[in-house]
Amino acid sequence: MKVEKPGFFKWTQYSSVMPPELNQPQAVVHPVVVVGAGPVGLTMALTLAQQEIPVVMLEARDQVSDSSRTLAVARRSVQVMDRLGVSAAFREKAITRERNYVYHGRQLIHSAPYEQSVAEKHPDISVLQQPWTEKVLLDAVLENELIDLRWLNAVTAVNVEDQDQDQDQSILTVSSPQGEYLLKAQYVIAADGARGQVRRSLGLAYEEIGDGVLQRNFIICDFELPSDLPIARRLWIAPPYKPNSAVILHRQPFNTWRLDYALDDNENLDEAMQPEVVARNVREQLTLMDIPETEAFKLVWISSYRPMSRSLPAYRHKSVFFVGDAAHQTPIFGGRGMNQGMLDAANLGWKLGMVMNGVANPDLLDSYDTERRPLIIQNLKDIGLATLCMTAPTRGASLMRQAAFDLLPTERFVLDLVDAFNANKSECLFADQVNETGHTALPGYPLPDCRLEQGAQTIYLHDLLKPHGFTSLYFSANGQLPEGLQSETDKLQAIFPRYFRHETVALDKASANTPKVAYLQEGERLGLQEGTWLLVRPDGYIQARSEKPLGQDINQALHVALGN
Amino acid sequence: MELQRSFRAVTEALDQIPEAETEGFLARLALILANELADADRVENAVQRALAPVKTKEKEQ
Repeated sequence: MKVEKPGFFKWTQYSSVMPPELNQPQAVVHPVVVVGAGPVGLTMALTLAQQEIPVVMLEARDQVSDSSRTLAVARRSVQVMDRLGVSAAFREKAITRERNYVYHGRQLIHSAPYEQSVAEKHPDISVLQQPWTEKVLLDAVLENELIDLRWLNAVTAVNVEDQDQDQDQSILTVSSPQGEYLLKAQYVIAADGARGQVRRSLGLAYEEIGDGVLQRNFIICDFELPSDLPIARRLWIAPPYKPNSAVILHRQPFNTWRLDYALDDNENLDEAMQPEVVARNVREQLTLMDIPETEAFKLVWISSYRPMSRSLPAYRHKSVFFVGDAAHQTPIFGGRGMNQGMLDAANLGWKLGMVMNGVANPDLLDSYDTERRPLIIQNLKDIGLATLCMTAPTRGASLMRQAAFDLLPTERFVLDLVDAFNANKSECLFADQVNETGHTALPGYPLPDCRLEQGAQTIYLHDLLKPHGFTSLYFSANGQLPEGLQSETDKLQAIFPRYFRHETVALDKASANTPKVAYLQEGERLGLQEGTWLLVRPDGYIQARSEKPLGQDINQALHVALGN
Repeated sequence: MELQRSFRAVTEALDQIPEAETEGFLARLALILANELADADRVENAVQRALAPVKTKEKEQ
């Protein structure tokens, strides 16, 4: 059996253009250079451009990613894309993951639906091959006059200089088909992945988190096979054909599947990567699912990886910021790599844009690291045990894993230990936020969604958010805003027309075009009452919440948010 | 009497199963009891106490 060309995508080769720096005697200092045009780099550039910041992007390749890579796109990532205006294009191609199945041997142990709350505009997990996700973002980048994307331009060195005006500046050495040149930037965003040159050039190293880099190889492969089975993720623990292993099988659009499994200690990697060997495992897996041999599949991709759990000790180095895999890596089966990277870009993007536009205090940039890094580390620890169960690297881990697997059919508590899908998903950015409310519409959490009626239309709460600014949301029974708050919000809208929007939402009766919470229980999901006020950040996180605030509370909250 | 009953329950189980199953059974039992106890500090303390004879043997060698 050979590995054939995948049918899910058609790649385009892009051409490189003469860099202006090769013709100019005096180099211009660019406000921002984003290194790497993967999904996180593209999101970063679009977020900055939305704030009217011109961006130069450097991408060493001449096309989008060449294999399916990230498949599971979390709701938060789709919300990021929504605010960039590309979620419709994404949702058009993506499918929704419906269920998670856990098997032990031949037996189905547990099955649960992915949360499909009607109150949420986007599903919990969408599935789409990474080249498509990149294309959706890339199309927006190519249309954007503020973004200069330079294909086949590779960074070979970075020097960060201290300037007289106490303003760091970076000089990047870039190699391009037209020649080598120097590029000056006020800020550099490294979105160039785990083996990125920016980090290497600066001599920065990752720290291992939890179990760090695990010495077990995984094979990951894509195959094509049309099927009517539900769109699901299936975790097999100790399937008959690989009794010491854990195997994950999940669906992609375009009749494509992904199979992901751990190799035993004594399996040779080169042999295990051979198409015949991989095909045999795929066939065994299909047989386990009662899919007959008459149903032929095509192998379209084979690769291997080792689970990594690493982070830079700081995501900022002077005027250089690290986002996505360049900043941290997580085991693939946790489904959190690209998703966390998108949130990095959303978090840093609005802050950098507002600082550069003179609206926010430059100290705000430090909060990118203080907010994101502890959360990344917590997430790595959250899936630590599930990772151990997928890999069982030591004798002790192997023995206890076997104990857990053997108990799976009858002991429910074991499930949360062994399945990353069931592992905790910490989302709160503010470390000292205590939550005893039973809901998450609190500062530091992403804003939960809910359905609204506006005139004859049904919309979502998230549709009211100002994409690149702050949104003040006030909830009252009749949709009226108290006089004192009206004058404050009018004032703020006059001072920050580009960065502030106010919306009043009715809980009970609305007039004309005032939006109203459509379903009582969805409002209760956010703990909404008469006088509830939320300030939502450009990245969709709740900055502040008050019950019956005064005008000065709103003013104060916005200034705190801007670091002023 | 609680401890006596527990002791006997484990003993009888060990006597009922083939010797080769001993390790797996005790590992499962440890995991179930750890979950019942729901107190990682007490489990870590118990782990250290159960390790003590091994450490004593290592010292003697």
